[in-house]
Parts: sequence; C-alpha cells; structure tokens
Amino acid sequence: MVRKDLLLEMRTRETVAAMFLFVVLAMVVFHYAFTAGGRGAPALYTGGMLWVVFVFGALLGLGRSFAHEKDEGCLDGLLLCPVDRVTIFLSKMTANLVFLGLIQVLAVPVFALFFAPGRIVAHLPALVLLIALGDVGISALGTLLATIAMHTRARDLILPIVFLPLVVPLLIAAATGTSGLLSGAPGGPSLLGRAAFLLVYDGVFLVLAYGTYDVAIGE
Amino acid sequence: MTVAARGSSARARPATATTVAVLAAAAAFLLADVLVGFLAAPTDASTLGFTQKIFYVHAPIAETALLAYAVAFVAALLFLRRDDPRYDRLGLAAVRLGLLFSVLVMVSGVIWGRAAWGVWWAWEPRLTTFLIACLLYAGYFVLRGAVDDESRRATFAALYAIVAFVDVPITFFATRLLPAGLHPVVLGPSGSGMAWRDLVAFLCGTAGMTLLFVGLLRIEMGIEALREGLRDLADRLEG
Amino acid sequence: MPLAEAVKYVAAAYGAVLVVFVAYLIVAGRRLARLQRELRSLEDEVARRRREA
Repeated sequence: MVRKDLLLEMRTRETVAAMFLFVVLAMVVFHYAFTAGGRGAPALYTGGMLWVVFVFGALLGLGRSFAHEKDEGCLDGLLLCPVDRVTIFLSKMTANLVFLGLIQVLAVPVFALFFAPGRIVAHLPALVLLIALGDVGISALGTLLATIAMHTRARDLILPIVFLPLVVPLLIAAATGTSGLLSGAPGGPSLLGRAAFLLVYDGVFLVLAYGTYDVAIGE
Repeated sequence: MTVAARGSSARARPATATTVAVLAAAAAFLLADVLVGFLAAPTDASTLGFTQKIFYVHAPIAETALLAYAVAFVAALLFLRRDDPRYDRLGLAAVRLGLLFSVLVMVSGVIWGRAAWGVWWAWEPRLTTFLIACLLYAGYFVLRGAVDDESRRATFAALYAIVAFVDVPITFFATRLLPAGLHPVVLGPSGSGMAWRDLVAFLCGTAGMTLLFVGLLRIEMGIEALREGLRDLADRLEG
Repeated sequence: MPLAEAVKYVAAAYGAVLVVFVAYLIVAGRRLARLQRELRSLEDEVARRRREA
C-alpha cells in the first residue's frame, strides 16, 4: 500500500505545484484584502488567514486527485484489487496528508515572510503541532467526502459545499490557536485546549471515515 | 391500478386519523405552553424582562430540531444496515423538518437577540451552531440533488446525515473555544432553576413541538411514499 | 427595555415563527396537490389504455 501511495504522489506532481501556487497567490490576495484600510493585517487575522488558505488549497487538491482517478478509470482497477476497502481509505488519506504537508512546508516560510517572521520561528513547535493535527482532520474528512462527491454531478461544487460546514469546528480551533500564537497571547492552557479539541475532532472523524468508507466507495 | 389506489387509501384512513390526533394533541400542548407562559409564569427578573417569553417557543423548537436530526441519524444508520428504502424516506423527511425547525430557531433567536443584546446577529454559540446546522442540512439536499443513481443517492445521503449529526455537538463545543463574546446574557429564564410555572410551560412546549414533529413527519413520509409510488407507476406505464 | 417595546419584539418573534411555519405548510400543500394531479393523470392514462386494449 505504501508503494501505491508513492505512485499516487508521482502521478499528481502537477497538483502539488498548482496547490502551492494557489496558496501563495491566496496569501497575496489576503494581504491586499486585509490592508485595504491602510494598516498592516493584525495578527488576529493572519492566523485565521493561514488556515483559510490551507483549507481551500486542500479542497483543490482533493478535488483534483479524485477527478484524476475517476477520469482515468483507475478506480475500477483499484476496486478489483484484493484489498480491504478501508486500506484504500488509509492510503488515499495518507497521500492527501502528504500533499497537504508538502504544501505547508513550502507555504509557511512564505507566510512568515509576508506576515510575521519573528513569531513563527519563536513558536514553531506549537505551530507545527496545530498544523499537523489540523491536517489529519482535513485529510480524513476530505478523503471521505471527496469519495462521495466523486460520484455526483457538479462535483467541483459539491465537495466544498459538503466539506466546509463540517470543517468549521476544526477551523475555529486551529485558527484561534494560530492567531493566539502569532499575536503573542499566552500559549499554555488555551493552546493545549485547542490541541486537545483537534485531537478529539480528528479521532471522531477518522473513526467515522474509517467505519463508513467501504459504503462510500461503493460496489 | 385505481383499485390499488383506492385500497391503499382505505388502509391510509386509520393512519390519517392517527396523524390528525397527533397534531391535535400537539396543538393542545402548544396552547398550554403559551397560556401558562404568558398568564401564569412571572415576568423574568433579569434584564431580559418580558422578552424572556420568547423562550417558550424558541427553546422547544430548538430541541425538536435536534431531535429531528437525531431521528435522521438513526434512520441513516438503519438504512445502511438494512437497505430498506423506508428508512431513506424517514431520513429525508426528518432532515427536511429539522431544517424547517432550525430556520425557526434562527428566526426567533435573531429577533430575541436583537431584543436582548441590541444587535441582530452575534456569533454566539447556540445561534452559530444552528446556523452551521442549517448549512449542513441544506447541503444534504444539494447532495441528494446531485446524485443521479437512486441507490447511491440514498446511501450518500445516509452517510452525510451521520457525519452531519456527529458534527453538530462538535461545532457547539468549538464555538465555545472562541474568544468570549460580548453577549453574556444567557437566553433563558433567570435564576438557578426555572420557576415551576416556567418549567410547566417549557415542558408543554417541548411535548407540543415533539408531537408536531411526529405529525409532520407522518405527513412528509406519506408525501414521499406517494411521490415514489407515482414514479414507479409512471415508469411501469412507460416501460 | 420598556414593556411596550418588549411586547413588540415578543410578538414579532412568535409572529415570524408562525409565518415561516405557514409558508412551509403552503409549500407542502402545493407539493401534495401536484402529486395528486399527477396521480389523476396517471389514472386517466391507465383507463385510456384499458379502453384501447
């Protein structure tokens, strides 16, 4: 299955490049959007902004990866494999996770450059923790929903519509946590609380996705 | 075919009678709720004052909305396990009503918020959670509309109903993570517990709204069954 | 808040709930009416085909 992951990565290298480009462009747009008042974007906004960018970037990546498979008819070949359905889920989720992580490794330095160099470096471990926890949730939920959305008509529209409301709690926890870090608010308990929340969120949706994936991927 | 239609409507008559009875009981309880709430219960001591009376309609509706979603959740689980299309119909009807009740929560909540806080909207945990619920369950219908294959549609709808229901409490807890709002006044009767008259009104309201939900559910399911029966009929005529 | 104003808000809340609920009933009623019309037309079609057979 790991080899299959790597194969998935290879085939969609264009997607990674495109996602990274999107993320950087989005940050530029946000900069202009939030400094329209003439002042720099406050730290409160930049934390949330980072996550908005990640979420929409993830959406693009998810949509593309499944569209690619469906169009190429890879999916039928995959289902013929004597492989457990949930293993398919794990491999897909891992692939999405790796993509997202890759984008973020490249994007966070850019973000730091644009918005808050000092703080990022100072709080890097905490930030990495938040990002990692958020990524797991986004990937688990996203993989499940993308599998469902793949079978629908306007699939590029359906995926965001079903994904975004469900990801709101994750967004709240991750964005407020990140904003807190960047604005220098005391880390400690509130950060821990948010990390714990993200952990619970991840756990719940991982179990849900894992448990229902064979139904989602269909016969 | 006409004989079958007549036969089914003969079977439907006791079902209709039950529905009417349920709705009548609902009306009675709701009337009691309003009467006790306005006539017997004392005016609230907090800054809410008379506006607290909105509670007697707002809170039962909120509870019933959540009940509807829970019913949809269970129906979805049962559908995935038993593959019986009746559970899909139940889920669809429950979500539709849940959405209706959620909209009612928002409508009454926004007006109450304006009265209590002076602003039309506040990102307050309960209102926000119901907003997300509205968006989630509106998405349920969008999803259903976008799947052409019928068996897949029901399956995906069930999956979504399950995920959405799990998300509602999670969303509620998430909103409490947000920085403390400017709206400390909790919507509800003041004091450590409800005065017993408030409680009576609230319980009547809950019973009434729940019965209303059950009655409407029966009607909705009947409509869905009729629609599906007609579609089968039309297909058979053409085929 | 003065009582008169509070009463207006309370009335507005209850009224709005009622209005939305009635709107739902109207929509549901129309759905039902449409289905019944369809039922009648299908019954007519069946009768017509029986006559022709």
